[in-house]
Amino acid sequence: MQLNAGEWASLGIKAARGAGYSWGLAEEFGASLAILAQWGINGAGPALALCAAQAVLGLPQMTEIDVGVWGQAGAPLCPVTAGALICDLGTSPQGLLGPSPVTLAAVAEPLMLLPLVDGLAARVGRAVQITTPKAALVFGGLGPLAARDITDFADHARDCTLTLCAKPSPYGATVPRAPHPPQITPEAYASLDRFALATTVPATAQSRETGAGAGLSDND
Amino acid sequence: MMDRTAPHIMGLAPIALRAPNTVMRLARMGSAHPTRLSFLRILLRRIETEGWRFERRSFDLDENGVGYAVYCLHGPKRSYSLVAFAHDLPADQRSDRVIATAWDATFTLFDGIPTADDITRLSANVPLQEAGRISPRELSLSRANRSVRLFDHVVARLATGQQPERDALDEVGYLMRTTAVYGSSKFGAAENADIATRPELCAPFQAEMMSVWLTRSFTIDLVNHLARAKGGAEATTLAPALARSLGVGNSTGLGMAPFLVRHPALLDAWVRVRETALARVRGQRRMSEADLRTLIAGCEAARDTGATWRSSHPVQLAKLADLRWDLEKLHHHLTTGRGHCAKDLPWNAIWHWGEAHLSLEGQEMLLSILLEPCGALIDDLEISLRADEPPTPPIEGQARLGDLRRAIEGRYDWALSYDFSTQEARARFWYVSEEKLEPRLGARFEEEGATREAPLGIAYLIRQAYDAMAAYPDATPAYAFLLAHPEHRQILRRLQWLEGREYGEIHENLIGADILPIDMMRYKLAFFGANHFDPRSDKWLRISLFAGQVFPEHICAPAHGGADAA
Repeated sequence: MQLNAGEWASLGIKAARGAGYSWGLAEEFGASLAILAQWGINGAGPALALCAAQAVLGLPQMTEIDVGVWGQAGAPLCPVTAGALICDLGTSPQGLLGPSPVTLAAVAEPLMLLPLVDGLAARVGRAVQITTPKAALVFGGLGPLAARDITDFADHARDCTLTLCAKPSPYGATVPRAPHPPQITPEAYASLDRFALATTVPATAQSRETGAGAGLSDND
Repeated sequence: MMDRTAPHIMGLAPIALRAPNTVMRLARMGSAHPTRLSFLRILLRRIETEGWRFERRSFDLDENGVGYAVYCLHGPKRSYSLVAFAHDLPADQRSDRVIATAWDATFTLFDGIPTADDITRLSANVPLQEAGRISPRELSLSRANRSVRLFDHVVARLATGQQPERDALDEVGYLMRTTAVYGSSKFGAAENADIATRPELCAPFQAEMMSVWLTRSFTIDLVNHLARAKGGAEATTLAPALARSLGVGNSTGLGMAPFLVRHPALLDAWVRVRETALARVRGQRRMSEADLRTLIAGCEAARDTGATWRSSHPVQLAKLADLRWDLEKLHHHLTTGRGHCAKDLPWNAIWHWGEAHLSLEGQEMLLSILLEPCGALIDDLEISLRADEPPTPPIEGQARLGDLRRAIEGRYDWALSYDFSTQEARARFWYVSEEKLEPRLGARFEEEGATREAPLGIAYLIRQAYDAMAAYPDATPAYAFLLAHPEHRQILRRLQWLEGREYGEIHENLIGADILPIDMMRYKLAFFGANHFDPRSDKWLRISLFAGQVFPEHICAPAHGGADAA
């Protein structure tokens, strides 16, 4: 089935919240999935993996931020939390626009990191290169990605080094979209939806009676 | 601080916009009325001004009213088509609730003119509503049920060559009620961002309004069709004046209430436009005798609306009594008061009189009456009803907590004023029902589920973030705080995003024991242009859209080549 970007975002937010992310980080999670969809990339697999592992993912620590190497606690680093922090740091010296590269050790599902970094780079009008042991790609208002461009980011855990390029973003102000959003399999949709259901409340006799203000004839 | 001075316009006295803590209170929001800047009025003005054309392209219904119809509007550059599927719904399946699974009629607004293949595709999906899928070629998805009180009565009368009782029409106000009108990106429909660059869809909810306007035509055609099928040569058609008095009903539940909280930048834009319009009107230095007569006529029209406005809800009955009395007082003031036109800032003087003498219902109706004759002064504001709403606005992580605390104290003093240590202040919680996937309002201390609360209690969220910040020095950057407290990320994003958008927050505790969600819904529906608000409980209400307004035939030339089954 085909979801539009708004539906990817909505599903992502609810699934992430259901998996245990805070509402705020769930918004970044949904945004990341929606942008991947606009690039033509199906992020359901990485999203599901993150939801399943949410409780045990590593989080950046303040001590790591100062030395520029995040995620050495043993567990794979959460790409959404790391990406949100990169965005929050913005132009501060500890962030991407500081003098040194930021190295993320063993990022879980690095694909989910890319849209967040791309968004920051586009916002500040600079290009950011993400380098892994196998790939390097420049971000900053990226348009639709060819599948081959992101294969090496799609591995389950990767070291990533993020470097500010000495040039402005090579991409135009208007970000093109993939002609069609990606397909999601019914199985993947159902799996994400199961996480999303954890944000909902089962009905009770009382809630059926009063939760929506029913209890009198709704038919005229 | 936000600038609340209305932008200077040559010749107008500068009048400050009403303050957010006056305007964004639920008691006042729940007293709002439609104005000439309401979304359905904007749509009708554009269609008339630009000379759109109209055709009923198909009307293929059998004697039981089962089949489909296509209504097309042709604008300067693009056409839009309502595709309606009519069904024969057993009476025991008819329900107003958004959670129903079968309806008398289902609709979609198609972008362009549908081909036979499109109709085939839509016929397999639109009748299923949420259980089907539509495509980016569709701009809305909706359904409607016949009014049990009115529909059969009208058909029976027309079938025997008689017009229906006027009182019966006034009592209900519509032949069919929509129970949901979905737009942007829902169930596969086009995303708002992809169509909002079109001038005709730039103002909010224009596709949805277009869909409902054409649905109204369909409801009239449907009763005429069924009357003819039943009565043959003896049948007549609904008299134009009676048809014009009817709108499309809508039954609105809690699903609409969270919208105002989740789209604060849009809410700010809507309110700012309304308040700027009022300030401009009040700033006029002269009022002619003709202007005064227009205001008196507006007051009399409002009095007529008040007279035909029916409700059985005790809260609304009391407000209706206030409104009717207010309109008598206003009429008396305008017609017997001396020297209105000679006063300095005469429009402002009437407004101040209203603030001193009218209930909130009456004051907000006065706003609507004052705006009505001033189109040349305020209609340009409609372009400002849009807001750029990125789904996830960036967080300024280098902001210092001291500054954020001061921002809360300055802009959210109303939120800090609640004592959340009491159960009353946290008595309710918003959630999404697993069974129906619809928003609900629960009782926190009586029901399960508060651990899955939806983040709509802004005042409490602000209080919690504010208290958590107290443990950190003023110089702490926001990113460090959020690393330790991701649970406050969403509300901090909101705090920063809404700087300068002070009409973006409802200044109430939305999880308090005494909250009335219908006030939120009425405010949004008034922006749509709805009237005849009829609360059915504290959580849902009925309204009417387009009642008394023109039909396409009144303002559109016929399009060539369209089938006409009338």
